[in-house]
Amino acid sequence: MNIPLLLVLAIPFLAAPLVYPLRRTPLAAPLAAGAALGIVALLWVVPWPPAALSADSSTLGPPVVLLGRSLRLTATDRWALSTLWGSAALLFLSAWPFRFERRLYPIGLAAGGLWALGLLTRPISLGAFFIGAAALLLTLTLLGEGHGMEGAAQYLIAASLGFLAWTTAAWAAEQAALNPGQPLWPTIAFTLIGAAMVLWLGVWPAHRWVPMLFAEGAPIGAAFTVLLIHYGTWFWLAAWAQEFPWLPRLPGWGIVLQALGMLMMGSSALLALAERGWGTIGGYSWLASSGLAWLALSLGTEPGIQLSAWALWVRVVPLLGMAFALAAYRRIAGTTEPGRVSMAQGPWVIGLLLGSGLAMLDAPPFPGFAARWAMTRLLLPAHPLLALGLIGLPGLLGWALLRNLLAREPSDRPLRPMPRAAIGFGIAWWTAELLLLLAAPWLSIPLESLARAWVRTP
Amino acid sequence: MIGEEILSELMILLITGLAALVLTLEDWRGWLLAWALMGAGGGWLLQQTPGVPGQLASIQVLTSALLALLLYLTGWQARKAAPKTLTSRPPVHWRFRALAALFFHYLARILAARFPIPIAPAPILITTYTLIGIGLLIATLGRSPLQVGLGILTMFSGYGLFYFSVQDSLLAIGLMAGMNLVIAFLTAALTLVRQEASA
Repeated sequence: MNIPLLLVLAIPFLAAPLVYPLRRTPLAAPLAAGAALGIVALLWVVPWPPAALSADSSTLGPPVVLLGRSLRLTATDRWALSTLWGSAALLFLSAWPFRFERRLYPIGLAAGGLWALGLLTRPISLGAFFIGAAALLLTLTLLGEGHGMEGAAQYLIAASLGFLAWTTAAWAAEQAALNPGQPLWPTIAFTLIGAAMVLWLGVWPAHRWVPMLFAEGAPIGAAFTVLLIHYGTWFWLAAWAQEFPWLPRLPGWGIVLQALGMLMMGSSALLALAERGWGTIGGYSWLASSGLAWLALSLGTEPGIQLSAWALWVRVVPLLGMAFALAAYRRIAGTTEPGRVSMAQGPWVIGLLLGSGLAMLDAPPFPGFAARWAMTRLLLPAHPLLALGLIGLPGLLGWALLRNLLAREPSDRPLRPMPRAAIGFGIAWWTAELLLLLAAPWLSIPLESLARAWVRTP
Repeated sequence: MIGEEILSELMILLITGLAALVLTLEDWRGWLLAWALMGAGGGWLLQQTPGVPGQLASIQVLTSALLALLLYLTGWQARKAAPKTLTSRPPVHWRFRALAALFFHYLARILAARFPIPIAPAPILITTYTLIGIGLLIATLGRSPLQVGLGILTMFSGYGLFYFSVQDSLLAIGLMAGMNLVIAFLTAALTLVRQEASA
């Protein structure tokens, strides 16, 4: 029996009921973050003995059998779970000063636990249920104190439809494996995976819920949701590629990923021009920046996938900064409308909004620029126009950010003072960005093995 | 044989009509009653499908009844605090909504005829496509969390018919029924949170 793996899976479900009654107290955030960090520690401290599953695939420790189905941990899964729980711990700690984020701790733990369960469950058609349940459960983290209902409802619709698409795609992929030579099943599976990704990643025209979540609801809950959905889908797609090796070899696979990435970047940059409000622009910035990871993934090569993983990783810190700053802004002004809080009234908050916005757009010298520049160079020989768009599109979002900064709309209602935690968080955030910049060449090295695991098909 | 076909056709129309009622009615108790009856109709349709075990039809009926009861209790608890959010008029007139339901039914018939799925029987496919279409409309036009949730549950109800008729794994079927419960729980939570905020 693989006890450490059982513990990794059980900790979130044991911690969630403990955190729930404490969610209104200051104890909830450190408890939830402690549980998440404990899982990361367990994943890397335990000496997992490699167990050969077949001639060309191995797991870390023997698989766990639950309800007659096997749960297996591979090297890729260890990366996935570490990224998930490490980011979750940081988000739990960021939500600490904000009362309206209190639902995040228990629900975040339960949703993360379900996602981990789904990621490790084989066959994928069963894992889809756990992943779908996690995505649906995240709806509850999106509500603030009496606001955010419309965004949450729109997210619920997108998540439900996406779940139905994933489940049918998994069923069709199994039918394709059972009936080789029938083109209908791979076509259904492929089309539905595309549809599910459009719905879950918030690709135009199913994008409205993303900016709404950041503008209306609980910003750190929204950040947790988009992070889990994007990172989880990235790693889950790797599981699909390994379970159904014919899938990435389908002729349209790379084209669909490329189209998704381009649509996310292009449409978000253009749509942001017509919008105002820190939350809305923040949501569009997230969409535009995460499109880069999917574009890099479409290359299907080891450098492309390594770049994609790096582009995802490096976004965690800007997302954290943006979510915290939006939550602090909402607490000061009661809204995320621009111009309500001036630089003098909330210097650390406005500074964080600008800094995280620019980091999200990969402006130099922020560490994300290295990924964007590398991608531009990769694309330049074959697709010069695409490369030009890639480097130029963030400029439109930068313009939207600048307009927000220059807006002046003094609030009718009295402003609350800037939360004291904003100063500590601001210092920690800028330090983290600086460290990330200095350590970037070394931090991206471990991602090579992840890229190899993605490309390798049994 | 012909009698069975006519009966199955009538049942498809009845289920479509009930889903259209969920879309057009403006009282939350009316939505729930129509939705519960629609679930029972789906169970009956499943029972008539060759190769589908009778117990699955019972699961469908039982799930619908339980979820309708859960949502009724939610509505009952929420109705005093802010009844307007429970019974709010959607932005589109009911005649257009009824017309849209008819259109989705027609579209479903075309889809089922043009793109048949080999394992799934045609009546099930038509009902599935219709319910997913109408459910999506209910959810997107809905102004209260209860209506949005009911729209999503209508989509799941339609999809469940298809899934139960093609899936062999009992565990998968159980998990799909569990997903319905998750949606109903979220709907109840969103409705009560909204009431708490409006109160």
